[in-house]
Amino acid sequence: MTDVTTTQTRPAESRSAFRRSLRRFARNRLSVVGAVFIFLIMFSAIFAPWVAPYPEHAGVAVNFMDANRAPDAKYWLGTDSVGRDVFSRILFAFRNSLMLGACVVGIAVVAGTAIGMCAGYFGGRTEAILMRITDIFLAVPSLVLAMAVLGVAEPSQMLAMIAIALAWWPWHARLVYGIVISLRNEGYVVAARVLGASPLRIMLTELLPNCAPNLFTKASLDMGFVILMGASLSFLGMGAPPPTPDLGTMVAEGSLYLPDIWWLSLTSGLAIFVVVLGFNLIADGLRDVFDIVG
Amino acid sequence: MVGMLTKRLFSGIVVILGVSLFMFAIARVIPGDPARLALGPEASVEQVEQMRVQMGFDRPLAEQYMRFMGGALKLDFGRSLYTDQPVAADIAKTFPATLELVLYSSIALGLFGIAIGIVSAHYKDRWPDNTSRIASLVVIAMPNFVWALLFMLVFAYGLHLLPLTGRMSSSIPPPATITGLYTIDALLTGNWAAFRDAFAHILLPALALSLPGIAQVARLTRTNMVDSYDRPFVEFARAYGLSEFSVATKWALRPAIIPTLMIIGMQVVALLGNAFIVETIFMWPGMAKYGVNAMMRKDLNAMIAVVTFISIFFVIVNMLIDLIVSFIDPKIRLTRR
Amino acid sequence: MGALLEISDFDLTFRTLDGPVEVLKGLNITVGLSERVALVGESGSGKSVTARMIMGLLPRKRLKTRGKIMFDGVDMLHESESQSRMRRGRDITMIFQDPMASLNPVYTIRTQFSAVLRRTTGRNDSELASVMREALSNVSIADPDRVLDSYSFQLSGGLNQRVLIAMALAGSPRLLIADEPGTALDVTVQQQTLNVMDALTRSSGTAILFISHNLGVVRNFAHRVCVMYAGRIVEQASTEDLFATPRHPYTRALIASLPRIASPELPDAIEGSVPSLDEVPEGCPFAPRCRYVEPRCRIGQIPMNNRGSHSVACVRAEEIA
Repeated sequence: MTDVTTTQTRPAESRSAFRRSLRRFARNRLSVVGAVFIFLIMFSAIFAPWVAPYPEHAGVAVNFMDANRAPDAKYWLGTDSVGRDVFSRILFAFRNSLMLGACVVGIAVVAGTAIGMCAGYFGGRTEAILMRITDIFLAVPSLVLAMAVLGVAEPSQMLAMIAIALAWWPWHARLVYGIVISLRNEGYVVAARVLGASPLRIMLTELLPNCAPNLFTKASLDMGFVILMGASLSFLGMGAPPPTPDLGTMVAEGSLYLPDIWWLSLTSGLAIFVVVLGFNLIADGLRDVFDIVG
Repeated sequence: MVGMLTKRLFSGIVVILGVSLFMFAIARVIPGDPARLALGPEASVEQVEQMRVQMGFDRPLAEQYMRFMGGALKLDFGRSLYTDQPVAADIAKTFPATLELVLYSSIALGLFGIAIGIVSAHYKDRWPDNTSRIASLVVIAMPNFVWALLFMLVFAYGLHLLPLTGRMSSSIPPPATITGLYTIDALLTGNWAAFRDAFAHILLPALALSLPGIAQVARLTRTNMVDSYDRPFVEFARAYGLSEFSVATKWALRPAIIPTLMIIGMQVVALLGNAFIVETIFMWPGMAKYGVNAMMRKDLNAMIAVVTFISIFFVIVNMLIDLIVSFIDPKIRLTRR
Repeated sequence: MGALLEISDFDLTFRTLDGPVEVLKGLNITVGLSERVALVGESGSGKSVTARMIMGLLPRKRLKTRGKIMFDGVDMLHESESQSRMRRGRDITMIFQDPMASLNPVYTIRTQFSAVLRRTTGRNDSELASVMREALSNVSIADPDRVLDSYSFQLSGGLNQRVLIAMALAGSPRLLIADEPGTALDVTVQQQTLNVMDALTRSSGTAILFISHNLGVVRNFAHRVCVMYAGRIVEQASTEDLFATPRHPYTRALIASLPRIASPELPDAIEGSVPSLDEVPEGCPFAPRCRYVEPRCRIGQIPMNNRGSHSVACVRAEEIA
């Protein structure tokens, strides 16, 4: 496991530790490929309005003359049924996906870590109740849970975020809980308690750094899978409503015209694949860097 | 061991109760009017009010929950807004289809996943291993529905090898209902035509459903086997000249498979979640598709029942896995906690 | 008349990701019928590698060898994998350092013992039970059936070790390789283990290649001793001769470092540490730590100086004596 003393390294040491981690990460060629993918995707997502050839197609746009064109020089990945450029829409869809991923993972990590840590540290009744609640959320497959939340109200981007976050936090809670209970009787934790440090202080300075590597790696994996889940939900029609460009919705739209008009579904499907793969590869590399077993 | 099982059962019941409570709560907590959503924007105010009464929303919350629980214990989950049938009957009708799909997928998961993992570990760092590792990465990253569409494109549209949708071709009548699982029923009644047809129909959906899970299981099995191969007791087996085959399939496998089994349990439950997508694409008339429709149409009773049912399934699967694991791992069986 | 095991001028190189590493150099070990030879050295001296090489447990593809290993007149280095496997567990058996870890935690002792016996003795299943019971009582296990139906984690370390010995000797092998048996156990249990090994091998005439870093144990048990350092044999002699007149500086330092209960003085430690296998200097590997070192110690390969059956790899052997 990680050395707790990383919280006490001097600035110069931490800089070289960072460089060492970078080198370890770079040793895994696949992870570097993943990092490149994600960097490109993030870049095009942030600068979508300038990078996309037809930024106006991201919103309400009608261009029936060019509808359903196969990929060619003018529209690199073809057009959809109302003539919008698929490539541009994918770039904007990346934006939405990345934002969804970031928000959901952010909420899940914060909420899950807080709950898992409290359950692990305080033990007793708190532990029993919190972990029981976590178990309840884990009993329903994530997709079903998210769908259930979305099923009771109007689907929207915000609601999708809340729904997926609700399905995701228990995994982080369990992860942190597992780490904390293995550490709560360690010498330095008991010592801190005896010295009179407040629980919050102990959690932040002693326990959190030990959870950080696992959390980081898992968060990176999560980004990919949350985006995947978001796409699944919007594929079923529970995501952001049209005309917002969304990868899952685009696959669904395209699927109606299979097999003749294949480009819409295939390219948006591949776009999802590339994002998820990129994050998974980064997570693999992070696992090597932090030397996590299992 | 009986003690452990009853403990599991008890916490399982708590979980199921919790899930139903949660489902019950969110319908009333999330902003938006379920009655209005169910009826649509064109319905009049009186109709919406009527619907609210029918849904029982006018009663105090506690009473609503009591009525719900009372009904649930009698297996009465109310009527579906859409089919106007008792929800329990709907679920009973559609569950066998989903069960059959999940069954085939689970078998594929276990068989292929573990086999690939063993081979991968045995040929560590050589081409079978490298190929399967890259393939796993690709498979996991691709969403279920894209795989499903790809399979449809290739096998059904392209090669015309396998049928596109549904459980059976319309020309062949389904076999007599014994279990509700068409392939099993067909086998039990010796109805070969029906079996072949039903089997052909279930291949693509089961494959699309299980593929990411197979990759996960293969990856994990590989890791556990590689760990196991490094252990002293494997060296011991080799020192006594036991064949590599025996080492791979018995000596190193059994200790390695325990963590794998727990993951398989989780994967089977996740299958149920992904079934929602696969059933929709392949028009498979199962409980998951019923659930998707319920969610699209805001059919509250059906939704709550489906999710509660899934949590029951979760508890059962976990208990089964616990049973199997304690059978294989003597440490768990023999040490009292 | 050949010896049972004959290792002559044996070099072993591992092909690793960081390049080739020479692990063993110029090894010369012989074990005669029913003889007990001890292989002594610190951790990292190459003793365990030697043992596994003899057993054929090292991955062949990563090895480069030179020299010969003959067992009963058969060239072990050039035979097929299946021939090597035939011999394992039948003519040569091995017991390992950590007895509990050597046994599979998810199978009963009975299952594992049966699997081993089926291979090594070819008896049918009905006879196996009685063979196992007899084997276990031969290692002073009072309740063989209870032990057979247990799992390794339910038995104590000493019990596990005796089970391993029973398994190793049940088929009356010609050679037993014992890799630091009893190191993981406390001292009294260790002695018990050795007594059991002693009794059994005497009756079956099994030769023993005994690996240890504990000179005291070796003294009472072995006929001959080979002292290893950094992958080479630095001294070889009968036990009596070795302890009476140790000739190599390393051996002397080892013996001097043995604590003596009657003496009020603390034993001398050996300065420095064992070189890692990829950093072995040219010439005598012990040169950096030796108090008799001279410039000629660091050049070329040190030849063996033989006085009867007592060999030393030291150029100053005659002078230091």
